[in-house]
Amino acid sequence: MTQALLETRGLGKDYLLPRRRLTQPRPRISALIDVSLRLEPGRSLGIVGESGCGKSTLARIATALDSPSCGQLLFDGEDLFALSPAQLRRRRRHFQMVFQDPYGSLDPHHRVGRSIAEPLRSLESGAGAGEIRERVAAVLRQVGLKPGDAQRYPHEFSGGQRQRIAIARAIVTRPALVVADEAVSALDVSVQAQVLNLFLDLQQNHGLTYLFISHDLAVVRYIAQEVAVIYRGRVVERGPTAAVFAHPRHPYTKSLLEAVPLPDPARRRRGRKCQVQVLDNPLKLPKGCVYAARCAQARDACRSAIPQLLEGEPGRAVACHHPMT
Amino acid sequence: MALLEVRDLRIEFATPQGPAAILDGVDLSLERGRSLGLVGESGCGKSMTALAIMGLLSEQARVSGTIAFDGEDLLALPEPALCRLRGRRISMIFQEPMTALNPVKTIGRQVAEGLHRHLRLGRTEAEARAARLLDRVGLPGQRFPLSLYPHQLSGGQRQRVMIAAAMACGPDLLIADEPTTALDVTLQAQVLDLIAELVESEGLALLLIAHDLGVVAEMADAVAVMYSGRIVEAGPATAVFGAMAHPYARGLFAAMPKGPGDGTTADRLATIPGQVPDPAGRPLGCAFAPRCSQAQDLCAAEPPVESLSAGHWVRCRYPQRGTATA
Repeated sequence: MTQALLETRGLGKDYLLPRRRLTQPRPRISALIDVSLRLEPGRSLGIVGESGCGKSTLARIATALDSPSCGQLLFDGEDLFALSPAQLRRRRRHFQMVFQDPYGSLDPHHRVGRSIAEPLRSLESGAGAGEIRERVAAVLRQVGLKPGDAQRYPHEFSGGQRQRIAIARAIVTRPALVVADEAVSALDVSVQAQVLNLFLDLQQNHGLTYLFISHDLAVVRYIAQEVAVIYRGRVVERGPTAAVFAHPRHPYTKSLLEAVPLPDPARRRRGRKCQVQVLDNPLKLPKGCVYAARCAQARDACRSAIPQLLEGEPGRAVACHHPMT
Repeated sequence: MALLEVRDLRIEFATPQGPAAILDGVDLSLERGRSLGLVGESGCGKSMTALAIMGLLSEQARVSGTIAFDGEDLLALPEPALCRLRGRRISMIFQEPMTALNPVKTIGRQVAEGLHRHLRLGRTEAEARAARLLDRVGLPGQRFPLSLYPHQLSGGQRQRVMIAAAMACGPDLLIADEPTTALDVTLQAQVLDLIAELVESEGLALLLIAHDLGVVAEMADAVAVMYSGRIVEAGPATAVFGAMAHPYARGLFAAMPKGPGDGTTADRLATIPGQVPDPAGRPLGCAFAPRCSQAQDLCAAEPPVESLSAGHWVRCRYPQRGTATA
C-alpha cells in the first residue's frame, strides 16, 4: 500500500455549547465521531452529506484550522497535531483550502495579486518580490486568467472568475493537498462546469490531491474517485465513487441518491405522497445506529448497537447492520 | 383563455451607461392546473419576471408589455387592487425562508395573516385554519404549535411554513422562486413532493423558477429556457427535454452534472465558453451568438422564432432540429 497523503484515525470533534442553566454542565455536540479515512497522493476523495453532518468540520481539521477532540490526523505520515506551532506553520504551505463563497473569501480592498501572494509572503518567507510577482503571474495563467488581472480588484470579476482566483491563491504555494469546501456550490451550471474542469486539469498537470466536500452528489461523481458518505458525524459508507453510487449499500446513501433530481420528465413527481422527515435532536446521539430513526429498514438491533464501519469488498466499507446487497 | 398571459414584457433600469433592459420581450402563458418551469442562470431575468407578475419591482424599473391575469392587466392595476390579489389569488414562495419569514412573529400569525387580511376571518377561526394548513404541509400541531418562531424550525420546516402561508387563501397561481435551492437533497425531494401534491389537489397553476434542469424536469408540464432577458426556447417538458434545439439550452444541459450515474466514471463536463453579457451592453441580434459555436454572420440580426412541434418553439436562426438532447 502506498503511503497515504492524508489519513485520519478515529478522528472526533466535540463542540461545547453555552450552558442552559448555571448549575448544568455545558451541552456537548459531536460534529465528528470516529472518522477514519485515507487519501492517496494524486487521488480525490469526495465527502458528501447533508448540512450539519460535519463535512465542513472535517475540512477545517484536515487543513489544521481546527484541532480534533480525539484521534489523529496524519499528513504524509506525520501527525500534524503533535507538531509545535512553528513546525505546523512550516507545513501549512503543503495543504491549502478553497472556500465556498467567492465573494466572501477575497478581501475586496486588496488587489487580486496581493490576495494571491499572501500565502507566499506568510508561509514561504524566502520568496523575494520578483519571485512573488512571477509566481502570481504563473498561477493566474494556470487557472485561465491573465497575469495582468493581478492589478484588478475582486469586484471587477464574475463569480466564476473569483473562484478561479481563490483556486490560484490555494495552489500558489504548490501544495500537495487542496481541500475544497463546497467550492462550486455557489456557481451557475455553466460556470460550475468550467471550474470543475479546471480542478481536473490542475490535478492532471500537477498531481494535486483533493479532499472535495460537497452536498451535490452529481458534482462529486465528476471529480472524486473515492467517496465517503457522512451522516451525523459518522462515516456510514465509503468506497470507489462509481461503485458506491451504482450500488449503494447503506440505506442513507440510497436515499440521498434517489433524492437527486434528474433532467428527465419521465420521472414526474405527480402522485407521490409527501412525507415528513424525522428530525434528530443534535444534542442526543442515539444508542444504536445514527440513522435508525430515519431508516425504513431499522430493526431492534439498529436501535441498541452501533454498527461498525466494516470492509466488505476491497476498498468498500459500510456501517450498517443490514446493508443492502 | 389562459390564467396567466405575459406578452412582450420589458423591464428597463437606468444605469450610468444608459438604460439596461433586464427583460427584453418575455412571453409566456400558463393555464389553470398546469405548471411551467422557468430555467436559466443567474441574471437571466427569471426572478425579475416573477417580481413583475407580483408587482414587486422597485420604482426605478420601467415596465412595458402586458401581464394578463384572469383577463386583467396587472400592470394597469392600481396598488390597492394589486394588494387585494397578492397573497389571495397570486402567492409566492421565496428561496430563503429565513429572510422571507418575519423572525419576530409566530408561525401561526404568519400563516394566518392572509386569512385575516383577505378573508376577514376572526382570530379563532383564522388560527384554526392556520393549524389545519400547517398540518397539511406536514407540520402537525402536537409537535409544531402555532406559537413557534421561525428560528425554532429547520430550513425545510421553515420552507413548509412559507408554503402553508402561500396556500392559506387558496390562490389560483403559485409562484415558487427557487423554492428548494437552499435545502439539502433529501429535504428538497420532500418539499418538491409537497408542492407537486398541492398543485395537483388544489388545481392551481404553478410558475416554478429554478436553475436546476433536474428540478424543472421532475415538476413542470412545460419548460421555458431564459437567456439574457429573453426566453430562447419553450415547450412541453417532454418535447424540450427530448430534443433541445437552442444551442444555449443544449449547452446548459451538457454542462449539468447529471445525477449520480450508472457506475461508470464520468468524463469531463462540456462547458459554454465566455460569460453572460451585461444587460447594458447586450449584443444586437442573438444575445448568445458571441458564445455560440454554431453562430454565423446572420446571427447579428434578430433571431426568428421557429416552431418545432406542437407548442415547442425556439428563438434561433440555426436550431438543432430533431436531434436527441444527450
